[in-house]
Amino acid sequence: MHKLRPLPLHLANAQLCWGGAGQAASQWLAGDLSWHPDLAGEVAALRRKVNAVGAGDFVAAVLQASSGRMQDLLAGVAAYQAHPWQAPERKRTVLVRHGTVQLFDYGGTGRPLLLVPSMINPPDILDLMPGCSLVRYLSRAGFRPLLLDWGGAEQSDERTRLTLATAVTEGLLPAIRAVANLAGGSVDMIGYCMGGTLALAAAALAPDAIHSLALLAAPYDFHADSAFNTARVDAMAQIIAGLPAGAPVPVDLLQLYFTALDPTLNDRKFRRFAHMDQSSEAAAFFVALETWANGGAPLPRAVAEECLTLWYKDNQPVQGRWTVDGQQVDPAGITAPVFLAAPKGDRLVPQQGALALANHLLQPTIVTPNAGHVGMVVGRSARKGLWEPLTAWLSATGKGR
Amino acid sequence: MNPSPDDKDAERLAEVFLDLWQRNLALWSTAPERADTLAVKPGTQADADDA
Repeated sequence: MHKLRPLPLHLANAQLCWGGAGQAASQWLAGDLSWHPDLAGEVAALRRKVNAVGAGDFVAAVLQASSGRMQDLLAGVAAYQAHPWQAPERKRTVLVRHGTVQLFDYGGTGRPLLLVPSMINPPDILDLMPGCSLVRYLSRAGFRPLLLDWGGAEQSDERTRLTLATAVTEGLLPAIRAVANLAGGSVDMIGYCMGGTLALAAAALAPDAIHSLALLAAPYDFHADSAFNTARVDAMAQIIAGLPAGAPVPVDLLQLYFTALDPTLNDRKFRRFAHMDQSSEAAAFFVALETWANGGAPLPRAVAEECLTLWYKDNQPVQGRWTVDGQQVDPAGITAPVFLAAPKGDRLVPQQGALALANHLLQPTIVTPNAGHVGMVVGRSARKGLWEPLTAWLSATGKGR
Repeated sequence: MNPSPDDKDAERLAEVFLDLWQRNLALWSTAPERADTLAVKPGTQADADDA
């Protein structure tokens, strides 16, 4: 059964919304409902139309329709849980394992590329399914992708002890050395999301080992967006602080943070899914993506706490105060060409937060796909918006090798 | 029995309302200013005892 985490939270959010809609309609008509100012125009227009049909009929219709929406949500969740889609068997070998980290080798004789995903979810977003895989696209373009897996399928002491700094020094730097051996020289590295920020640190610490660096939606200025919410970060830090000492942070708790970015999003997604042809490619894609988003292993405690404090709260990277292994993470020391992808509709890593890094680099190549954080990598526009420009840039940086 | 035109209007407006209502919840629950605007204010002394 496919997981939706945390299920009680998503169901409670939907119930809060639809279970209260009838009462909200009555309160609105009585002039006692607090609307967000952004909606004032639409609310006023609706009110004029409701006056024409009559309050009684309108409230009755709201009660019936809201009940239907709750039923749709439940049907969507049930259909997702029972959907027959299963992750494809991925043809890849393990090139090397060190500690909790392993490198998946997709083979070929082309130029090796090290891909570094986030630590939050599994690495498979970069190889989601046939026809929807950045890794496979790069492979077909003649490269030899090596996808880093942060591990976690089995909790180990090594993983539990990881910090942001040791993720770089004990996870990434050995991976770079392994790929350098394979490449016979410096390494081409692609980092996605927080994997990009960690890849940046590794490149800053070992600039001579890097031939090129592509950062996809990698956060750098955590306060760049006006919607940055200190209260949400503080609340999350408090919740994590309440876990037993040293205990890793469960996926459900991490999902709590992402759900807080828009508590109504899951309801809309799963109601839409309820009406999809369950045998369609689109439905399979939905299940693949949700399975990925709800997957993953508990995050090492220090990694979670440092993400919140050093990155989100103190915003150390853009201020030049983030240190790894006693060294400042200074992008100015990176002499390799850098590719920055900052999607316009990114709600997890707001575009300006990723673009801020450009001010600290020498002439980076910048693309701004018209997509969201995940859609940039696997959405319908991923090929044109990211895969093609990234591949062209990689080819250009590889000339003369 | 088919719904009357008025019923259809009410259903259509109900759907518009529900979309707005959900967007309203999303906006308030993610807006930085929500703590000021939606702060819990005890309505009665009994409420205050329970707060």
